[in-house]
Amino acid sequence: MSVVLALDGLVKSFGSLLVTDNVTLDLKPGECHALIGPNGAGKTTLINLVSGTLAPDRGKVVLADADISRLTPPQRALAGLGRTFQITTVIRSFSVLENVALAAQAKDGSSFRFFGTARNEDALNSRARAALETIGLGHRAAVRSADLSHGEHRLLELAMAIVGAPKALLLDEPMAGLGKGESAALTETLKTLKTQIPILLVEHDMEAVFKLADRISVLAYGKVIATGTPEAVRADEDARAAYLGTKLP
Amino acid sequence: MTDRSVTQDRAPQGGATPARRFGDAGLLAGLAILLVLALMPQITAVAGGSYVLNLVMKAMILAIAAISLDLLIGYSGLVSFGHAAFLGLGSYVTGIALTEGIYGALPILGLVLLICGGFALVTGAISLRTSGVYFIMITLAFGQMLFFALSSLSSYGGDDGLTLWDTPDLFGAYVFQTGSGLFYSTLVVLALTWLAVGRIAGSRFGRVLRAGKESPLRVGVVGFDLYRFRLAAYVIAGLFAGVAGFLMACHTEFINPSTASWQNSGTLIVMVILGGMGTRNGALLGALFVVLIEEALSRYTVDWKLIFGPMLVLIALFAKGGLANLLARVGGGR
Ligand SMILES: Nc1ncnc2c1ncn2[C@@H]1O[C@H](COP(=O)(O)OP(=O)(O)OP(=O)(O)O)[C@@H](O)[C@H]1O
Ligand SMILES: [Mg+2]
Repeated sequence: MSVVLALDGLVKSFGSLLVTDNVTLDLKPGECHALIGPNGAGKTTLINLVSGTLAPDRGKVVLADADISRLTPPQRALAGLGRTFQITTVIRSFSVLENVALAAQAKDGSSFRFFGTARNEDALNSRARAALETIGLGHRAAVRSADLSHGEHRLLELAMAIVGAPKALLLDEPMAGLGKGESAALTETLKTLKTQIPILLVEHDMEAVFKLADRISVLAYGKVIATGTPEAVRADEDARAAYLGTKLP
Repeated sequence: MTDRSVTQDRAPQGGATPARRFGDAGLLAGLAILLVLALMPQITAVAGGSYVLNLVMKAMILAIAAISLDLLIGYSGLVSFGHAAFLGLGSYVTGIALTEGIYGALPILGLVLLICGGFALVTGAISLRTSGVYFIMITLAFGQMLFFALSSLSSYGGDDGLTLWDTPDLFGAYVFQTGSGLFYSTLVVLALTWLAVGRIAGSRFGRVLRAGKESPLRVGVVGFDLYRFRLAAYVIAGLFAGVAGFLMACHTEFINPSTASWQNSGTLIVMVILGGMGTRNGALLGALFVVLIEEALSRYTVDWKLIFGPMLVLIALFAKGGLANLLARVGGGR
């Protein structure tokens, strides 16, 4: 299998606004494929089309050679898609550990179990703990997640996305709002992580993108206007034009 | 990634969150309330008499419905405005069965569960396609539909309802006959409901519901089809309320369409919110409080709602988390 995730001719419009314009791209094992583009380019929309939160007008999504275009978001999650949100979405009243254990529970047999205390399930808790350690949030396991800092919330999202051992990860601006040190640390974490789980990364932080990405696609007005290695994209005139005023490093 | 979970030692268990400690205090408080209720026949024998005992029994029956409603409102974030429909349906199935010559409590309860479960499954499947205010409106609409359907049963009393001349028996024992038999049966059902809802809330199933109350989006993306979990919760809540309807028919020896009215559904919501959502003790306290206060106030004035209304507002404003939380704070539970 040379391609883990393939988006094939995806089209989406909101009314008369074409937000995803025939997007075709793929994700290979061990790679980080970064998706960059100015605000409103349609990056989040594309992630939503892949994770199933939005239905495309046309095109398909293929995960590990299986067409998942008709699956619901939970079915796609179970098929092996993990994602994070641009705006943090965790269960704030749950502890950090329980958030991740909830995600682990989704992939661990039936959850139509009405008795027995879920919080005391060692198998789920130790898997959750392992994911938290991987992400570097192990020391905060017992904290109520509402009490986490913004940066820690981002990490918690990531732990929830990886605990089920997905086949591919969709990360929507994981560095947004992080301090310098925090994003450097997260960059290192993702660098290790991508060797196990390939990552489709939406990110505005160009320093992180150029450190992490094996390939970069540039999205402008819903269209992929350039795809290639970081070097190739850096040299690309169109890509520079799309980021008018932004300096590509 | 599987090797990590194997090598992972699990020395520190981070399970003892504040919520858990509160849960233990809640357990004791709940048992204490149930114990006091269990002693009500003796207490009322000294003071209050059978009149008060009857009121307590009414409150206990409504508490069963309210606790089951809390599974929806408090734990799942589903404000159902039609929960009294299950009370009404349960009482009508009981009344009609008795009128038609079915006297065994087990077959009657079987019918109650079957019919209330079926009604919950159908109406829940449709209602849960919506959310927020639309969910409130559609559950209200289903409740009213049932209310009018019951009112139109002319052979069973129509608008006026129907007096029941028989009581269900359990293998020849009249444990559902008004008096101490029914009191203790009600107590047992109430205790079981209280226990079951607590267990369900803490289970895998309940964890999905609780998470879904905060963020349906997150729960879906993690891999749960929340709709199915909510539908199951809706049916479970309907079953408990149906059994409460059975007990109510036994208690009042009368069935009446107004049991299923939207006012009654509203009262159940008030009980849950007043008592404290997402704590089964809250629904229990709320039911006792509303029934007793209603009675006490209505003795002084016919305009008791003028007093009750502002009281609700005050409790909503000042007792955040409802009566259960107030009790916990007074008892030093936090
Ligand atoms: N549900 C929606 N209905 C209508 N328009 C939408 C909807 N969601 C997004 N849009 C529009 O689609 C366009 C693309 O939005 P999208 O969120 O995908 O951009 P983005 O590339 O993620 O931007 P950012 O970098 O700011 O996160 C924007 O013009 C946005 O206003
Ligand atoms: Mg976006």
